[in-house]
Amino acid sequence: MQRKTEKLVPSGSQTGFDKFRKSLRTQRELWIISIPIILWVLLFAYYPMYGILMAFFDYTPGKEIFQCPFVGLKHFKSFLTNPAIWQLLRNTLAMSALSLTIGFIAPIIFALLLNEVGHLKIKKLVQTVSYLPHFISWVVTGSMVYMMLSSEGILNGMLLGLGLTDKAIPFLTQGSYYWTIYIIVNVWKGIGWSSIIYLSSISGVDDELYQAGAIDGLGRWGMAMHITLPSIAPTILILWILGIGGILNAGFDYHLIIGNSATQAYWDVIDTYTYRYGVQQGYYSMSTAVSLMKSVIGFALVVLTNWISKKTTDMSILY
Amino acid sequence: MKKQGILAMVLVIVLLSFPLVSCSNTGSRGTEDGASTPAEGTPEATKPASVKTNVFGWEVPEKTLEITAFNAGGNYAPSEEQKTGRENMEKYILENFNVKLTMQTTDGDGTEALNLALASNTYPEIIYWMGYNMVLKFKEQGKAQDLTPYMDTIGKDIKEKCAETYPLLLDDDGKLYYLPIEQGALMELPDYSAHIRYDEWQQIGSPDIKTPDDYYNALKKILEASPKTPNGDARYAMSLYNTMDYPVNFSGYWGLKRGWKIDDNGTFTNWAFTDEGKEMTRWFNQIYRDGLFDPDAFNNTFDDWKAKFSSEKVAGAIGGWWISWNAGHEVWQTLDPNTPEDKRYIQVSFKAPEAEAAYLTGKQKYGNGYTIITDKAKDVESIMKFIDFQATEKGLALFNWGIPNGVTSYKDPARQVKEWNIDENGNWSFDEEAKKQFVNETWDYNDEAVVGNGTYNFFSSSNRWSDGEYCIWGNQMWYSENKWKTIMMNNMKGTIYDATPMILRQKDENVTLTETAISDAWKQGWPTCVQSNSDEEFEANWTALQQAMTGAGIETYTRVMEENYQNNMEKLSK
Repeated sequence: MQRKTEKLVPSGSQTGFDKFRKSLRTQRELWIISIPIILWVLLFAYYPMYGILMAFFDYTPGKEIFQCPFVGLKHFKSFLTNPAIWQLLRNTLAMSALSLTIGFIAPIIFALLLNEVGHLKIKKLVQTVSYLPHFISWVVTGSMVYMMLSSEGILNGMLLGLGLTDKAIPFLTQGSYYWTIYIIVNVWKGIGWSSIIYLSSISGVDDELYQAGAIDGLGRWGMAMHITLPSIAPTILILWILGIGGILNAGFDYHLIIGNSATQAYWDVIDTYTYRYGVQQGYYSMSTAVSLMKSVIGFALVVLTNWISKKTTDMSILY
Repeated sequence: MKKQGILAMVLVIVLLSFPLVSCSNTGSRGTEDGASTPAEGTPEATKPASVKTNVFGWEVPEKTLEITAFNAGGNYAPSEEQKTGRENMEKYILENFNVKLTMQTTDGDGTEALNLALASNTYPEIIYWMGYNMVLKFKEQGKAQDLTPYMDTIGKDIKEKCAETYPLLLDDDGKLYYLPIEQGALMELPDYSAHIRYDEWQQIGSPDIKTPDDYYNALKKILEASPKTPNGDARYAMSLYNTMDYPVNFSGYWGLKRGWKIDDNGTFTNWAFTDEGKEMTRWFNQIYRDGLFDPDAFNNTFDDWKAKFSSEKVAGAIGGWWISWNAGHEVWQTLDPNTPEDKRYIQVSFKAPEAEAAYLTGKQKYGNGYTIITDKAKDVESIMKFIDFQATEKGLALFNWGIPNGVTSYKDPARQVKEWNIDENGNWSFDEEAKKQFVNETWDYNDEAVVGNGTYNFFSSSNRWSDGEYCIWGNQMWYSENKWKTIMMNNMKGTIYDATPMILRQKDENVTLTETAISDAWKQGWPTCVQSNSDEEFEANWTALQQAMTGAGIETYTRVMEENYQNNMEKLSK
């Protein structure tokens, strides 16, 4: 039986669909293996997206979405005109800004420093120990923070014992300390884990560059600044762009565990507000509207940042 | 290539089979302990074919009546004794009543789990310990059975127990869709009080405590006499824990009722806009400025507070009547049986000089949770009969005092735990040994749980029974036989009132969101006022609190409260 022959078309004039068909044919085993994951993504990531419609209806649990009254942008308006919105935005943006600055830079510095450690065993030990906080749950972390910072905690005990203060400092009940504690705890918890990707990038830097740098008279600082850092710049940029997309995410578990009523004015962020008003009360429409808004804004920021990056550095992650 | 193709197909089949196998498991989601959402009910029960009556007066059906109930109370984290108690109760009811009870629970937030159950249509035939808003959601969607037809027949015991509160339970059409749990009230039993340590109070000369300043001065004198704990730690006059409803609990000492000032015309004013509320806040601020307020007061969980209280780091307390006993002498006497008898707290009351009375305990008779029979129930009549049995005195005894005649203790297998006895003729009595232990306060509340009390209460009444002596709580009887209960009852006289008409149960989305916003406003604002460092700072923070409450919608909410009050008063007068 003669094989059906394809009409040969120069590759430059192939359409996208032609390329897709060709890929299906030449890589069919890979496509077949990918079927379960594709189905999983369609079923669990795309299909539930129809639930976004809840944001435009007054959804009541137990009813179908289209059985509920259509209210348009009511939930968006009610969130944006809520008197609490300014406090929520302030807290969210403040803590995100801290995460995107201090929280973002710390793992990079840590990775650079760790890269300079000559002794391999010590390097691995430090690396392993630095990961461990990442695996500690927020509940346990909350207990540790309380042990350290409560009025009868370790830190106040030390300060009082050394005579540096004559009464306990209310770290956990004064709002002015909250953001500082938040970023310190987040850096402690995430610095090791986040540095993995930078260490991985650093390990991919060509040794010849370092040799050339040595010949040119660069010391360790010079090599870090002029070779290592520029080499991992694409990784930094990718993570930065993705980080910007999450600017309206400023923690959740942490605030519920460590926050209290005395400091609520400083820790109440969009997510905790949505949880309290939307999820706990069963008003899913409101929480869906707020989450949708956050996702759209986050996506827009990612696109914008990506465009700026492409214009200025010719690096992008999207197109 | 052919081999690769075959290998690829095999991999796909293997990868697909895992989710398909797990998806085909149609059992309940999660385990019966800690399930996230309840699963659908168990197969239908059939009508009893023959009648046999047990010692409780229950007509035992020939075919087992199976009831699956979702406990929507949430945060279900039973101790080993409680788990054992639940198993014991299930076994006892099956053996003696031929009723198979199965409980589904959630270790998360109950309302959240219930909303998810409603959304996914996965809930069993009974849901209990629901909030009123959730009852309404189920009712509006036709998922709660109309129980009205049963209330004069097989539900008559329930109706009788609800007594004068029954009309308040009906909707605007005069129908009943739910049953209350712990309906009614012991009107002589205080829920809230202030606390002072009896031995320390005697040491400073047993001063009269009539006003808030008297109380604070007494605490200060106690701290002057004993500024440190036995371990050498600093002591404070007052501490709090984060689940306290501060304005509702505290403003009663300044003459407000559940945080509201109500005039003769039924006009409501919220505590944040009254002189009384401001004085109450200023009183706490003074304790803070004197350095005698626990710096972590607003961060404490109840367990944190209890640990401090047990360690004698806190001299006073304002809250539930039981907290100082639970965290005080019950701990000390367990750790050291030779603890002096007087080293314990007593409940005291005081009121601001201008206050009409100290309105500390506003009782409400609606119940502390509600039960519905859902549209999934196939035999509503049989289920109603079972719940009605719980409203009889033997039913109240069984489900609140637990299994009679003895259950093996969890701690000491040689010992039997029981609160009451019933013989083969159905004659029952409270166990004398148990009564002695309750009166002498030696009853082991942890071990008591093995009798399974309070596990499957679909209905209960908090009122005292027809004999005027018994009630559902073993430790709320025979006050006159216990010195400390007598002191409590005497000191707290006049502080209890009926707040049933004040309770706002029917809330639409706007009211619920406004209520949450108001709660957010005072939860943030009140601690700031209390922790002010000067009069000027206090005034500024107080103004900010009022502005936050106004922005949250307190005026609208106040009108809703007034309207609700008027409606309830009208219903009660019928």
